[in-house]
Amino acid sequence: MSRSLRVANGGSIRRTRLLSFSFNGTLYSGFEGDTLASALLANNVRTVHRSFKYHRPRGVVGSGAEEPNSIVQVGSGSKATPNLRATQIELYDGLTARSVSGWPSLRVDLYALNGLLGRLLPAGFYYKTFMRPRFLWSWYEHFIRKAAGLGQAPREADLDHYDKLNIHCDVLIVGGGPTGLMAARAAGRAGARVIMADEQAEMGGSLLSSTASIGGKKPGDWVETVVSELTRMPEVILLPRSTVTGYYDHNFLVINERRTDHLERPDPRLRRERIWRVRASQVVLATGAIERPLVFSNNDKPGVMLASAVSTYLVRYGVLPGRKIVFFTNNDSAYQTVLQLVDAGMEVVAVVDVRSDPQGDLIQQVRSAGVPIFEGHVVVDVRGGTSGLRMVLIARVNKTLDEILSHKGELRCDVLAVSGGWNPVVHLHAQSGGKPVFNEECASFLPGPSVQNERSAGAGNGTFGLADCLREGAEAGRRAAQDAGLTGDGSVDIPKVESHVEGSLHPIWVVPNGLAEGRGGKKFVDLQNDTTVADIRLAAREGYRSVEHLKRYTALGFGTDQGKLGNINGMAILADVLGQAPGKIGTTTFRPNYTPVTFGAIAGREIGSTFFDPTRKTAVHQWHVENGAEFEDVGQWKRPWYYPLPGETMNEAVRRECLATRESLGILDASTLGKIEIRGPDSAEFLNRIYTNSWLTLEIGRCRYGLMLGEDGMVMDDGVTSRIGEDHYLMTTTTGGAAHVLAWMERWLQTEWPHLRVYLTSVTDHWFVTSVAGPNSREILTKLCTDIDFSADAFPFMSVRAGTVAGIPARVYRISFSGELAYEINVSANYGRSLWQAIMTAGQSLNITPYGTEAMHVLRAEKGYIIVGQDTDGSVTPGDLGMDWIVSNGKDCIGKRSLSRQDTRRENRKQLVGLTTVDPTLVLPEGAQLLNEPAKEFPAPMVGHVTSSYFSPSLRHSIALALVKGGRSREGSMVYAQLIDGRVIPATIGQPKFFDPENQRQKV
Amino acid sequence: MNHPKITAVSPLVEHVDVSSQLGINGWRGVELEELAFCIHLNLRCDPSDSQALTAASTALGVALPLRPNTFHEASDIRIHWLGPDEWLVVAPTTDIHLVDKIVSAWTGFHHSVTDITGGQTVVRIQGDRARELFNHGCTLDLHHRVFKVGQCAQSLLAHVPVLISRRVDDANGTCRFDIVVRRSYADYLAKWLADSAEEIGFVNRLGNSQQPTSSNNRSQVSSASK
Repeated sequence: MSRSLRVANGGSIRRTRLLSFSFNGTLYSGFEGDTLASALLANNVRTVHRSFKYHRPRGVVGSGAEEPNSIVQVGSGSKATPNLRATQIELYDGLTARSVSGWPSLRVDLYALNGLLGRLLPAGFYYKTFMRPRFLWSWYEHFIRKAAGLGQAPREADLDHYDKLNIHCDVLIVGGGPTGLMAARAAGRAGARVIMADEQAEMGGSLLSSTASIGGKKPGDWVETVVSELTRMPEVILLPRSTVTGYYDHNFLVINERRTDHLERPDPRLRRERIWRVRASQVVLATGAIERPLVFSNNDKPGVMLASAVSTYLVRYGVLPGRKIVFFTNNDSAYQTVLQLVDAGMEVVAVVDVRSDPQGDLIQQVRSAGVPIFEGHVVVDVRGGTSGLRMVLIARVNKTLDEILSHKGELRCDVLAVSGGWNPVVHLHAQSGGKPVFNEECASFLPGPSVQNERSAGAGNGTFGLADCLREGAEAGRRAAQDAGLTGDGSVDIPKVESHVEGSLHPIWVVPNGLAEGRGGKKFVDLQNDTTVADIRLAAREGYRSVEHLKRYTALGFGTDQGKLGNINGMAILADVLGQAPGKIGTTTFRPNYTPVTFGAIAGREIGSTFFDPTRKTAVHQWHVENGAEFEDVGQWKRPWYYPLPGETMNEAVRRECLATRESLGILDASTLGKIEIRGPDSAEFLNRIYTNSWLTLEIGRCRYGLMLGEDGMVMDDGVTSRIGEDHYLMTTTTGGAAHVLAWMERWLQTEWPHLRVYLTSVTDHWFVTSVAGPNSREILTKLCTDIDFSADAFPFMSVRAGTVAGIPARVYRISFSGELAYEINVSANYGRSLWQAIMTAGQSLNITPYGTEAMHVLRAEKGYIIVGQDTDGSVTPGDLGMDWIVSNGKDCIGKRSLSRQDTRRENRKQLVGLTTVDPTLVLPEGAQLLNEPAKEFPAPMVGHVTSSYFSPSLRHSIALALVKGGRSREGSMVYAQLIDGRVIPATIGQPKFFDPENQRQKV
Repeated sequence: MNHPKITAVSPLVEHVDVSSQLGINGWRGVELEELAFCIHLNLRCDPSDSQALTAASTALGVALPLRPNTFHEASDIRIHWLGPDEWLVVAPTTDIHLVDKIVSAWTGFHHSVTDITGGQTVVRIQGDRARELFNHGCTLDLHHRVFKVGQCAQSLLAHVPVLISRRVDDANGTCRFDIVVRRSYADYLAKWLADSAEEIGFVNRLGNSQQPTSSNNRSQVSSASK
């Protein structure tokens, strides 16, 4: 393990910056610019993972997002991130990582016994074995999940901040390789607002692993020239470390930018990740292609890698993944890697090419470099262990690549670089709604016709030559800018690159090994989920003929890598078994996200009590805070719940607040109620249609309670509306219903009754409202206001007056939700705090007591006043509430017709009743189900439920409101609340009125 | 009787727990400021009634904008288009006769003039990174090519209903937006703005807007209930 595989020179790593990191507890070193995977390879760490099902040792296969094996957990504590790909983790000093599988260790994994039992673990094994008996599943699941591995979510709270950014652009370019760079250059020059996102730490894509000159420059220098031109353009945003993870309707795309994970000690103000929510006029998909592996016996052994990954590790990271490398290919591109190795002075043992007569410039070059080429050969098996390969076994194959002609012995090597062709990354095209189309020439799927405003270019479009990619990229960028409406000149010169004649690829989906089907080493298709060729064939035989069914049965493509390496091979194998063309079989659905996104990024800053949802505060919120209020959330509002004195419990505080209000004077912040100004000559007619009762006769200066119904006849909202002037009303609504009621009324005005001359304006926030309630409320109002006559005759119950309270212009309403003599004072909210202070000062001698929503609820429940949304739930009619009196017979209103439906007229509907418990100290839980007799067995027939329940300090016994089937005719009979804890509480049905049933107190 | 001192308190006056903060690299990306105690009036009238429109422009000194999502302004008054028959007047002025002016101009026309001065406030957001700050919580395209000086839009910022208007073009150096926000949401929004500006840094001029009442300010309610 100690031999370093780092080559002496080369790579874009910064060799002066030595970094130390740990993997599975062992310390290693690497350089700045390394990924965890390149650093592990440089340290000759071969086995990085144990596989999902068979626990076979696995090594690094790829060099990017496609990597199925090197899945690791990085960091610890609150910083821990599970299931990251080592190929995409930028190394920093002090990084700690561990593999997410392998027990007790990577080298010795006891679960590897599964491998020996492989024949007993066919596709669908878990479905077939653990389905019965059903009740044991949770027990099985525990062990299966443990064996399957994958990382552990941190248990600690995440201390990092994540955020989101909405952005619009003319052209979004996905991928910063040669194609993307040319597209960005062209679109940028045309003056477009451009965003270019690339998942890697730097732009360049395939050029980062290339040695071929471009425009007379080294690839890295050319990239730098383009990037610096783009950086100077004010309307161009370059996003490295940013994966476009999803493509949704209306050209809405999501980018996940990783901003601090590569930093050793990031500034704490930096957000760790950002979700960019992009609305793009045009999209250029320059997503490149992923090399396709070959499927042969034991193709999963550590040391089998993609040829392109070998290039990347050598050219970009200065790491030679092996001393002796054999290539196995069916196309020309791997020869490029061979030449890079030869140029770097490395030993290439041989190239095994399935093609019997490969032709092409690169092949000639490799041949003249003296590297042996086994034409018409295949690798039938490999030998090796956790520390790498020892040899590969090769054989001669027939022209149709399905039969072994003769075994040709072994080639000793430590790495086998494979290339089965290239799969264009069509994920985003498919997510946008496009249907990928099978292309015979590259034996893979290419983007089909565009459904949204997107175009693919470069390798992602099946264009593999560099010169063609550059041309196609520039054209795509120029046209995208044009289609986005830009008129600037987007022309760019295409840099010169050397080109060569390429031979054609010969597809091979399964490499024969000369044995009967199913014999010999396993041939893996999906490395992450351990899906083999035999699994796919078995599934097909068992009738899973649709590729979507195949996926679910064999787990092909179900891993965190979403089958980026294995899917195309798997689909083609299914097609082969079914005797169909791969294009007929099609692909499974490509869904977001392209690579996994952390929950932190998805949540952003919309977490916790501060930013999960907006909070609304009244003008005297700070006074409530300073005076010890506990708050209750009502919609988005923070309302004082109760005001405990030091040492007081909630019950004690509520009791004190209730009694003070009943006996002397209470004060409530009632600002949160919805308030809507209604103006215009048809206002009364409008109210008549909205509310169930009649409004044509309300006099100026008077108020009336109203109930509004939905079209289904169910109670929707309620409140007091007052007539301020000739054509001027003020409606109040429930706190939570305000916005809905306004929208509802606007909808009726704009769509059904446009002829009514009525204007609606929300004034909820303008008015600060405080309710002063209790027998002494008239006294304090008289103290604070001299321009209103508060005598009972001059200012009767349910009326409104304008005047000046505490020197502040005010509207004063004489209305009551507590059943006491009460006034609601409304002032401009700018003066709310002053008014409240003035009342508190003036009320001192009267023991004025602020009360919260809990006391308010008790006081109103004592009176039997309903709260819409608590005592009603959208299935309650006025009749159910015993409020038939409020539905006028003389006119129509919204919902009235529904009240004559059979269902709304039936006898045994749930009706509002009052309940008193036999034991007066017991308070029924709200929501408790009511039975006619204690349950003998379950489920028991339920006859109703408790909607509101409190202990009444004034009456000294508990009270409750409930909805009970046919309840009004059952006065005096018993019901039983069956509680979750097993208790049964008997209660007597009565009227939903407990205190001052004649309503004397509020009218004094 | 003698009343305690009456003081007008702006929605952001109690916003004391946010102080200016440098961003990374010492950035001061935005400045936040409250334009407190403007008069806010909601106007409704029939836009096809040219006489009513003329009467309004004469009374206010500015024509009601008829182009969607635009505002008109004169020295001490700004009128925003909210809908085909709805406008918001924001007047950073002590002209307490404003309500009376428009109400009397519209006598005889079907109209509505609603004083909502206490219900909302104006927050000014300016600086190099102002647009970026909006982008954290608003999905509109506020780029100066799209959202030009003189335009306004009603949308959500951090899930809070706001009216955004562009005051100065960021192509000319400064980027400045004014947002009108409801009183009850103002404190939440200020906290959100400060949090979202954590990285870009901000200068906080919110809060401490108290104004002793002159007798003038008291006319609002009585005139509104005429």
